[in-house]
Amino acid sequence: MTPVIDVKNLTKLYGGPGAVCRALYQVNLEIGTGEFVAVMGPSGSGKTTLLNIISTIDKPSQGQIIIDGRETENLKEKELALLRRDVIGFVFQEFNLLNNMTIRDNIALPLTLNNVKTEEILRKVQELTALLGIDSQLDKYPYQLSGGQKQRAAVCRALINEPKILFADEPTGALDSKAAAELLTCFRNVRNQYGTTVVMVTHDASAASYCDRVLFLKDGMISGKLETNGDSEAFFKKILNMVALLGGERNEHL
Amino acid sequence: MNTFKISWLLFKNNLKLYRFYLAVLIMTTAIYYNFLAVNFNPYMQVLNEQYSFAQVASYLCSFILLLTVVSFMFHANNFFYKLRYKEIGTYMLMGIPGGKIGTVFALESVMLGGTAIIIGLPVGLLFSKLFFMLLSKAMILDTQIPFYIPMKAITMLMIILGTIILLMGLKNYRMVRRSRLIEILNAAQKEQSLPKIKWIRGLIGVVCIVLAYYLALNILDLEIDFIQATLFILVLICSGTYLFFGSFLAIILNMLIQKKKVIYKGSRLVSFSNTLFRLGTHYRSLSMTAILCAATFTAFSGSMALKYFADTNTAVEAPYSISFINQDGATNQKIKALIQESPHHILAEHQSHFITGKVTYNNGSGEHTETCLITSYSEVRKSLMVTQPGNYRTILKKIAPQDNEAVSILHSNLIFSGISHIREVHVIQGKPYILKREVKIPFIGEIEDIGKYQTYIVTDRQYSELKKNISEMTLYGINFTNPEDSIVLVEQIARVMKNPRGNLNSYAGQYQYKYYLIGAFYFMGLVMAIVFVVSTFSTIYFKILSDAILDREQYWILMKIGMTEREIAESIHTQVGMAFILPAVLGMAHGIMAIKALESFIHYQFTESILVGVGVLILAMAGFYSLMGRKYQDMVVKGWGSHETA
Repeated sequence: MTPVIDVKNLTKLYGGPGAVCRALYQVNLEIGTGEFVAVMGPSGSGKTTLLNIISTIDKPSQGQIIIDGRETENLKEKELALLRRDVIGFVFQEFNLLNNMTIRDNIALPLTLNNVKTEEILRKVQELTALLGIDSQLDKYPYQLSGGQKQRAAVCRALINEPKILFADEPTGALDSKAAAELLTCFRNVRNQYGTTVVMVTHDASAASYCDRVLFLKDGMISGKLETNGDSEAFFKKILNMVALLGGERNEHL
Repeated sequence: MNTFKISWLLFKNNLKLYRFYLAVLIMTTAIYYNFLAVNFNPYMQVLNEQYSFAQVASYLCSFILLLTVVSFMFHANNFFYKLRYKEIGTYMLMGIPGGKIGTVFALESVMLGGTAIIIGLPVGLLFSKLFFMLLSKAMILDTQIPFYIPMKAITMLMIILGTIILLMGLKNYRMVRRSRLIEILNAAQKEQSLPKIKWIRGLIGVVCIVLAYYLALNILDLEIDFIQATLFILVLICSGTYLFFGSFLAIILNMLIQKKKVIYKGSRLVSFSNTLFRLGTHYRSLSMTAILCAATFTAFSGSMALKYFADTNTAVEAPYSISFINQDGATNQKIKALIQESPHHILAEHQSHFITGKVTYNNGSGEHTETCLITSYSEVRKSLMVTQPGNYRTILKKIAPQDNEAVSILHSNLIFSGISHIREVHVIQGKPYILKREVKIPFIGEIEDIGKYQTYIVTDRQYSELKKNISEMTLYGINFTNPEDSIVLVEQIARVMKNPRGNLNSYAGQYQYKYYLIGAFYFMGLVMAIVFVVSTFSTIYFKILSDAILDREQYWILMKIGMTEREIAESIHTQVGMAFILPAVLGMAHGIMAIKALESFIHYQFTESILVGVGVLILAMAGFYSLMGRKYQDMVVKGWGSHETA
């Protein structure tokens, strides 16, 4: 399987001389097309930093990141923005929908920036929202929807450009367990239907159990990996054990 | 630490935050002082009595200026209060009683206002020296206006600004006292919603503006009292503008946003949605900007118009370098000899003939008979060929009367007239004529004995009939070189004439007198324009600044999902542009209507002044727009870097 994300010796340092904080250290990672991967770890382990750097929002101090065959280090600011727009989709914990637009306009936004034909935009919005079950909410504003609906709208926006990779930062963090389960099923459907690679940062072991693979981060380094054999329940238990082994996370979450 | 010390500490710590606000407050105080100083200066009060329209304009401007100061201060105060809302919550969590926090915040705002007065007043006093120096220059005064500090102005400034500052302190105290901890903690989650679409209010707004324009353009025909009409128009314009931005614009933007074909292009969706969404809170500042813009335009173009009027009206009041009536042949020869001996050279000589008679017409309160001058179209034509005022050929075409018509030349020192008599019947020497036109053209000029009468132009045939049995009068006009500097020659000529006070008129005399009066208002108008432009820009500045703070995170989201810096810049410039263009266009339209109304009162065309006003305002706005757009962009783009590494 060709990796759509290839991370080599990634290191990220914060602060100046004398007070250097190491957020990530020598991280190596390969994620293939169509994989559904979770990144777990205690608070401050570098999960979000890793996601931000892979998704080109932040820059690494050292190391190489190749996204869809392109070395991000050599890309200019504009090229990076276009890469984010065309290859990558984002889902955030706080939904990050724009309150001043209807759900329809929120989802259409990335396509309008690419000057896609209006009819095409409206068709795609309709199709995607039907798949995620929010097509009856299109004319509402984000503040009129529930958390779960908002998050599904955010997923639609992330997917409207048919990205190869979907990054999700704690996507279930602000949802109740029912909405969280629905969202994760959505991720799975999207992966199955469009072959999209999904990379998700999460605290939640049950959310991680929906994935094919879980990476565990501790003190900025990958300190464990788990792969599913198709049995979700067994995978969930394995994840809990790993969390207990690495410390902190289980109690933190409970 | 006592309450006062805490407030002082907070005030000092927050000075960086208040920097711009304080600078604007200081400038406003300084300018406001000067404005009051002009109002209370005995010299200026004399001028006010001369021109009622200027007086009305001055009162209206001072009223708008005060409103501006108050609205601006409350606007900025609310902005800072919102910015520090969480701080109040933190103090409450620490267990400090609401009353004490309220007192601290109230004292802090009083300290801020107090600082503005303490620094602004001396700045204003210093500026007033420069102000009056420039003023006397504008009026071509030989002697300067002495440096005068009107205590009344200082007291009034202290009372007005002091009251506003105290009220603001009280408001802050009440706001803090009324806030509940739970509300403050939940404030972050509270989301703004879209402005409601109110069709009726929106339509009323447009109707108000249209009605105000109609009144302004037809103010003479409608025969309404000038002051009442002006105030009524002002109220209509203010409320119309307020409703326009509050409701009508929301309707238009909402309709546009529904049209996906228009809106789904580039960054338009972001800009239009943002503007509509922010209208709910920003419509007040947009209306304020539009009204201030109108005031800026009116003050600027109005003073340009006054200057233009002064320049051209001098030619109407004194058509020739020197002109006189009722002299015998010997005196005429003496006068010519005096000019030939002087450094001035005679360029042209002309004689205009006319008769005195009686005219009867309805002056609004009934039939009215008065003395008038009557002349023929040929006489006027010959005279205009000599004096050659701008576009005199067009004027000649326009004023050619039929046998049953007359054209009235308004007497030259009539600056302001509220009533028009066009198309009404005028009985001249017992014969009825329909008044075709009222014009202000050079013909007789400001000769004391006859200049106060209207002159009626009739056809040559009518004139030869009317002048039967009446002795014709002759106005001698002589043009010579450098008439502005001929006051010495004029005095010499006056000595050889019979009754020079009633029979002599000169360009030099009219020129000085005109500038003495109009120059003052020209300068004051320009100062008012500067005051308004500063107020306009600071209102926009705070609006844009608070927008940038509110929209920053949204633009960060957009950058995360792949909006390029260029697209962000485009979107920001469209959004900031709308905050400029909409109020500027509406404000300019208001201003143009005001100048149009002035045109009908003064019987002059000020097209050139209007065009210059539009040009200057567009240039100033464009410069400020590019600065603000860049500042907004910096706040978003630079914030993005620090936001991500934080």
